[in-house]
Amino acid sequence: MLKQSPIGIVALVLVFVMMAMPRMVIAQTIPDDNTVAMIRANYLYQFANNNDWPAEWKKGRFVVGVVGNPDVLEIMASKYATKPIGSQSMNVIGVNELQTTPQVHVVFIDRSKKSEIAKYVREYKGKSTLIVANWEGALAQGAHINFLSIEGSIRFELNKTAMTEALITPGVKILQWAIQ
Amino acid sequence: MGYTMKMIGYIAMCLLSLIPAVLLAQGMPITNEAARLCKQKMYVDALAKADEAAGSKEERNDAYTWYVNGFVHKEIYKEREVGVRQSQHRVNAEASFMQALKQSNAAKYDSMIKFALKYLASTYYNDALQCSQTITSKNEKEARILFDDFKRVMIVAEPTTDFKIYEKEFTKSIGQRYFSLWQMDTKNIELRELAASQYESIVLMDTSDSDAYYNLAVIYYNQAVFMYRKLGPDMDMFDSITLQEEASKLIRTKSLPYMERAYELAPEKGEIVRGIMMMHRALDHEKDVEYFKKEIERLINEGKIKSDQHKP
Repeated sequence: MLKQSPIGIVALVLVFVMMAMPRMVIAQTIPDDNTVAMIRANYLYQFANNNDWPAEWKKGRFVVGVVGNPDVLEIMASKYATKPIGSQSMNVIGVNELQTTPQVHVVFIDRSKKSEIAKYVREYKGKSTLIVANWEGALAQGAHINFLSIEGSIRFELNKTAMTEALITPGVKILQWAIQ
Repeated sequence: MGYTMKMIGYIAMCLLSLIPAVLLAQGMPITNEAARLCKQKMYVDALAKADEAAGSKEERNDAYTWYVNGFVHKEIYKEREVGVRQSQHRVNAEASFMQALKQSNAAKYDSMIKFALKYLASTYYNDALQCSQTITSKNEKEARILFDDFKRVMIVAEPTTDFKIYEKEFTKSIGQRYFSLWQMDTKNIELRELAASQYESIVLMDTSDSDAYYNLAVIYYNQAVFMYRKLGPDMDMFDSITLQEEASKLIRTKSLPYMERAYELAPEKGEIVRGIMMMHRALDHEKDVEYFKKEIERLINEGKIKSDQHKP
């Protein structure tokens, strides 16, 4: 009887075993969502909805400006801009439009542009523009509300006096949830 | 999966090369005739002869007779029933090969018989993986039975086989399936838990499996992301804050620790470095985000990962 060479069979078996090694594949993918931007956009909407502006600021559109954070800008525009604030429809704008928009209700300055806060504080001095920021020490630099990261959760602190000076009345919910 | 299919093709080719060995056995006329008919792909006649040989007083106690009998069943399976999970010819082929091993002259044909058994084992394994990808809910049973079939045959064909690597791939395949089902029905908590439990069982088997830790991290991270996606203008502020605190806690206490473990084990795997960067971003850990962005850039510059797949 013709026999397969034992060496040949062993070689084939070795090849088999090597080929039979299972693949190790990373299957799952991580979504690209910028979750912090989602939270900040949600807060900006809550600030718009739960604070009170002077009567003369309740005419025209409710303007929210975003500086230095395209993700927050995009989420605000896509998810929240269709919702009115009181009787005002919302308009979400970026830094270029800010320069030509006289009445801005809320402006968020991202920490990537923190060197520019003085410019915005000067720009909005005497106006009821709520300045929101997200870095340590931002309140001292003129922001009214500052995002804080507490164990990975985004919360906020506020300067009630500065808000009152800007004739913006903090809502009960805002005061309730602000970190003291 | 495609890889396993290729393997089966290769093994089939190897097995075909064994046919001459069965054609020239001496003093086994019925079995030889079965082998000849099989080579000519006259399977009905070959099977009749092989069964006749198995019932023949002169030939039934020879391992070679049972080897040929199994070989004919195997060829019929290969020709007509590959992918048929309940194939009776595969069952019969296995039974005949096992019978061959019980004969007193089995040692003479040991390599050939075990090689054929390995082929059968590989088909069970392939079917188990394919079946795992068609699970629709909690019906893992068929896939697990096929995997048990693979183990039962493989342990005979190759007694020293380390099954851990197969267990891991099979379990990952089930986990991947549950994960995919969950992605299509994100409200179905049970699917998420079933996916997680697969990867948890893998890290119990092998504490150095970075992929399993990565996948666990991704499950909990995605769970958090799905929560964040619920944030919207219609949600009350209290609910929004509660939701984001629950989601961030999930990332901080479950997802990130798993991803950190994966990173410890595989610090230069693109998906993992990107994953840990994403988790730190979700927790607003600015310095960590910058660090891992630079790591990704370094790995791209060193050609260890592709830039189009892992944008910082």
